[in-house]
Amino acid sequence: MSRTVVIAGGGAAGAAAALAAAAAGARVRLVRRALGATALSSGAVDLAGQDCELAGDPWAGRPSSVTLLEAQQRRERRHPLALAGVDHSLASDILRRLCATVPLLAFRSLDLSPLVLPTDLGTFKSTTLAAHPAVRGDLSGLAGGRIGVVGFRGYPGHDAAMLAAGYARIASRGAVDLETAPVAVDLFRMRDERLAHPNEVAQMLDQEAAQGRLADQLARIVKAEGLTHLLLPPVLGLEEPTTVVDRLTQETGAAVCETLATPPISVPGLRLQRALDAAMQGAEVGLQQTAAAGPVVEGDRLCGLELKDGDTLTGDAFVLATGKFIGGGLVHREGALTEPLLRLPVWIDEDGPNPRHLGRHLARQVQGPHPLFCAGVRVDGSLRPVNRRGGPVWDNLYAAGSVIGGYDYLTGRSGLGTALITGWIAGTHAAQGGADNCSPVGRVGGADK
Amino acid sequence: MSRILSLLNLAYRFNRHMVVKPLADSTPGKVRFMEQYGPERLLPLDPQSRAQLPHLQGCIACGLCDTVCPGLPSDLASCLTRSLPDYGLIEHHLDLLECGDCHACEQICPAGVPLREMLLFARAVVQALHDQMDAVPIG
Repeated sequence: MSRTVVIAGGGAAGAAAALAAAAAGARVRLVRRALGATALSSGAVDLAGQDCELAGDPWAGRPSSVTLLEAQQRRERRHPLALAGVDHSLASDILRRLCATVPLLAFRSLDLSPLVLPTDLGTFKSTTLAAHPAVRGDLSGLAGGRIGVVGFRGYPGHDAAMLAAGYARIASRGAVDLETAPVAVDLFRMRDERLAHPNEVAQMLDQEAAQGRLADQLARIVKAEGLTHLLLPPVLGLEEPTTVVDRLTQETGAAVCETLATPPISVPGLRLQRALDAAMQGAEVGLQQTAAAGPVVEGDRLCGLELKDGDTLTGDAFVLATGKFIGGGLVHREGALTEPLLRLPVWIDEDGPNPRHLGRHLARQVQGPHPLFCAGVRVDGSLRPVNRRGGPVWDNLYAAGSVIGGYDYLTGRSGLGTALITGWIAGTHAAQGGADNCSPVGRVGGADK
Repeated sequence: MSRILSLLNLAYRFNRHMVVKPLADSTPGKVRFMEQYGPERLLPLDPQSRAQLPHLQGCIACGLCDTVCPGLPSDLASCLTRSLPDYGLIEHHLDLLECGDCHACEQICPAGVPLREMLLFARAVVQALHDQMDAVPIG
């Protein structure tokens, strides 16, 4: 009889755990209140980076993702990837499997240096992986190109002239020769003259007729301006963005790509969440759309999750992937920072558990690390949350994603990548009934056959 | 001597404020409030609505609800529920927002805003504003 794994959480970590547990042969139930921070993310999958990298260095000599991951493990001892002993080959194997399950994500070898992706603020973001429509916009790979930065008239979130100037400046700092030109298309003026929301524009571009109109306008501009590439706002369809990008590339004669989004309004983030949802549906993960209310404990074992709607989800193992501040995995309640679902102890740095004065953990400068972002539960080497004495709270409870503390996902540049990998490992452990002599990839590879 | 006079004066003022004024002025406090603030479109909320309001104002402007509802609930959640005096401006919007009972917007909302409850609240406030505008001449 196969084991039942119950996962709480609506973002990337929960989805990765569900996919891993299903791949390892478990029956999987996932409970979520709503979508989490993944759906609001820029669409970039960060694994390891460093603050201020590439600030003025030539892009040609950048370190590889492997080097950055190794540096991160030396630098951040409490990082869940370091605790779980995730080396680059394990990270690479897990990401490769996830990209194979979620076709929207483009796998990129960790031996290569990170992508340099343009944001819709005229800056760049260095990231390990991204979705197909964004990957083609890797600025470090566009040398010698003449890039049309496309703005939609009436779409306020994307000022083409400002962005074009921004990309040209950062490319020259990276010693990459590329030319940018702002261009504008007129397509999305709404009938009642109000401004369209990005999600609305994306849904509009799911329709072939709208894609055709956009392609016609862009083709004329490409011809007149002699462009080799077109960089568009991240709104090219919600359903099949890769198809839209391919079609536009074919019909305009220039390589079409998207910028990243600026959270919280993010079409790429929503697409990623939908792609994960589709993969979970394919893996027959049972999705329960309601909030989890608390644990059901029998003796010293966690045996179920109580739900808001009155039901109870029973299982053999559990994965807590409820996120941090946006997802609701950590809340400031009754004067202290708490983990509301299972009441696990929460730490920020060495201060804790369940610290009260959160203001002390914010830095005075906006830039640089804020210890508050390191808040979360502590885990052991198999990602089980630990109690004050350092032992696992329950043997069959694992944590994944940003509910785990000990790393700053912002300055450490390790947000979604950490969520996906810890999710995969937690899901695998949960499905296999413990971390005893467990090497996740070896076992999971076996489950493939 | 002046100390006694001062105390007598204080006793007289106190008496007038606490005893005579409430007895002589029979206008209810709510009516006086409406006279003062009604033209500025400020409405007194009952305790229940007052307790409800902070929950309705949790929008983080992510726009996810727009992807499941053609009526653009995000406009209502991100801007309009933040400023009660402006509620009169959203009437047209409320008329367009046909809300069934699907709760799809609430199931997708990362901030957990009770959007259907918010719509009902908005309709009630707009109705109350109407009633008040009929009762209190502006200007």
